[in-house]
Amino acid sequence: MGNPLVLASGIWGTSGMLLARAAKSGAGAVTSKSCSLEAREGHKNPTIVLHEAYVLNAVGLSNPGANAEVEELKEAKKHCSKIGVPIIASVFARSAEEFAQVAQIVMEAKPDAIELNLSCPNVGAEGRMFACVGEDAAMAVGAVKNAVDVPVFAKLTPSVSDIVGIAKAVEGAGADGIVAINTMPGMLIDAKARMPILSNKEGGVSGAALKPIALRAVYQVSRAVEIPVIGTGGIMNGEDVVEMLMAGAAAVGVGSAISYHRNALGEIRDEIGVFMKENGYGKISELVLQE
Amino acid sequence: MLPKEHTIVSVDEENPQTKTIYVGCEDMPKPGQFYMVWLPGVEQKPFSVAGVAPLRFSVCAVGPFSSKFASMKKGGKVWLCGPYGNSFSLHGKKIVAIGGGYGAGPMRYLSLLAKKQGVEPVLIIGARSKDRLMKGENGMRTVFATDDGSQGIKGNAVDALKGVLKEGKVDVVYACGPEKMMGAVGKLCIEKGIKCQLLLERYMKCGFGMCGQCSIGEKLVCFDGPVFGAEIVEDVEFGKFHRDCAGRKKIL
Ligand SMILES: Cc1cc2nc3c(=O)[nH]c(=O)nc-3n(C[C@H](O)[C@H](O)[C@H](O)COP(=O)(O)OP(=O)(O)OC[C@H]3O[C@@H](n4cnc5c(N)ncnc54)[C@H](O)[C@@H]3O)c2cc1C
Ligand SMILES: Cc1cc2nc3c(=O)[nH]c(=O)nc-3n(C[C@H](O)[C@H](O)[C@H](O)COP(=O)(O)O)c2cc1C
Ligand code: FES
Repeated sequence: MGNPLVLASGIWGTSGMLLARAAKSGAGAVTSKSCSLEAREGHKNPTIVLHEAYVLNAVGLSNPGANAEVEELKEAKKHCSKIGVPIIASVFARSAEEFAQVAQIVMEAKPDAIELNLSCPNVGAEGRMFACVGEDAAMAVGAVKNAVDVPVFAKLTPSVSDIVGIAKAVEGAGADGIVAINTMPGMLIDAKARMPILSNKEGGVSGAALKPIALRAVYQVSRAVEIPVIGTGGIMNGEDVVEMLMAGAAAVGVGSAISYHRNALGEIRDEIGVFMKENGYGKISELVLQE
Repeated sequence: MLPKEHTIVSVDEENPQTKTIYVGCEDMPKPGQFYMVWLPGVEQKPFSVAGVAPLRFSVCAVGPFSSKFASMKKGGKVWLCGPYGNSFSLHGKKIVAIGGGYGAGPMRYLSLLAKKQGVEPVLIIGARSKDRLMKGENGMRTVFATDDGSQGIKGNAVDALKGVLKEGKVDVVYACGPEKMMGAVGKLCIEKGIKCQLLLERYMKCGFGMCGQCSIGEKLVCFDGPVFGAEIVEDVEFGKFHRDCAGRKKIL
């Protein structure tokens, strides 16, 4: 990776050409929008609400299905490999076996890594989220590890009482990296309409408001596991990236920020350089907390 | 921004299918910009600004959302997020503004603004037939074109444009309407070396550059557009397909 920024899943990742654009505009790696075995239309609008301090979304995991996704990933690969930007293909499924099946399908596009979006219901476990139970998460990771020969990352939700326990479970199952965190459950109501704004009523909070939650999760998780952590959540500028690296992240995910600036990825990348120069840092690896 | 409630102050019937809805909102968006319109319990979709003071939208009833929106009455409430997107940029001495279908709304607004700035506009309003035409603008030279010849010239908006171009120099052509029509306008302008700006439409989830649903090639209609130069007609995806709510490529 040329720089520590990773385009987070679900932002722009709908098309190969957009992944390529993110790569060209400053991402060190890009993640595609999570795809499933079959196409999904997702929820009706409103699906995404933008506020200065946060984003709330319930897109509903809409995606064109794994087979169509292969074409988008191939397109992305064509452009990204030319500039040396790795592609992470995000997948989700209803069971551990289906996770392996979807991962195998997208492998046709030769992504550089597979990311498991574990914030989705496990049909075999009464629909509870994979990311909520260490065993369930580990089953999905184990199944995919057996099916593919590229690094496998597990993406965790902050909405659990013990994120460290889940992190250790996926590490034990062979995960090569952890992405922390996905969005935090939330809701908005319009008083005049007397209705929740999202058609799905509830959704996930991302953006600036998520930063303290993400920093804490990454700080805890990175101290408990050996595998690298992609710290994601609320990164809006270069200093946020520095803080996330100091919390223990090996790379840093950027999602919501993209809507606030014309060229968010490029700006954030440049701001990291400026911060390092102004504060006397020579290498990214020097960005650690004082003991 | 969060959706904000506004009250409909009046409704004007353009034709049996299309209404112009006036909203009590003080915003002064530019022609080309759009709002995400939320009707709680129904849905939320993008609509182009068709004028200001009061803010208005020309709504063509084609499906569930637009039918509901177009049937609303004075006193009804709508929730708006916006304005979003870029806008048409006015320059030159003489312009042509072409509106197909509901596209006549934003084009009337652009023409009025042009006139105020001392630019001479010709408005072309096209539709399949007379009962689908939107109204012209008082005091504005307006050419109507219908496919069946039931009003104005018989032919499409591109035929009407060719006619206007024969009369003399035109500096910029602006268009909003079906993609096929804009493709033809764009190609003609490239051929003739005339500057041209087109207002594109794609299925949108967010409207502010996050979901990626409204992509055309590497561009996002909501974030980089919705107004593009004529070169967009040469994009591999223009006029070919768009992405539906699942992100599937759908033939246009
Ligand atoms: C930037 C932008 C600006 C827009 N501005 C306006 C506007 O000012 N006025 C307006 O009426 N709409 C406008 N639209 C379209 C609008 O957002 C909706 O897509 C449209 O109203 C159809 O929604 P629906 O739910 O009623 O029907 P849907 O269920 O989405 O569509 C019903 C059927 O109608 C077809 N259809 C969709 N749009 C049109 C159309 N314009 N003419 C003919 N057939 C169509 C669809 O392909 C489908 O077959 C704009 C869209 C964008 C992206
Ligand atoms: C509109 C939107 C769609 C998202 N879709 C996905 C998705 O498909 N898969 C996934 O793992 N995460 C998804 N996420 C979560 C992001 O990848 C990221 O974890 C989260 O937004 C926190 O980062 P941020 O604050 O930088 O946005 C989505 C987030 C947003 C805002
Ligand atoms: S509608 Fe979401 S990016 Fe344009």
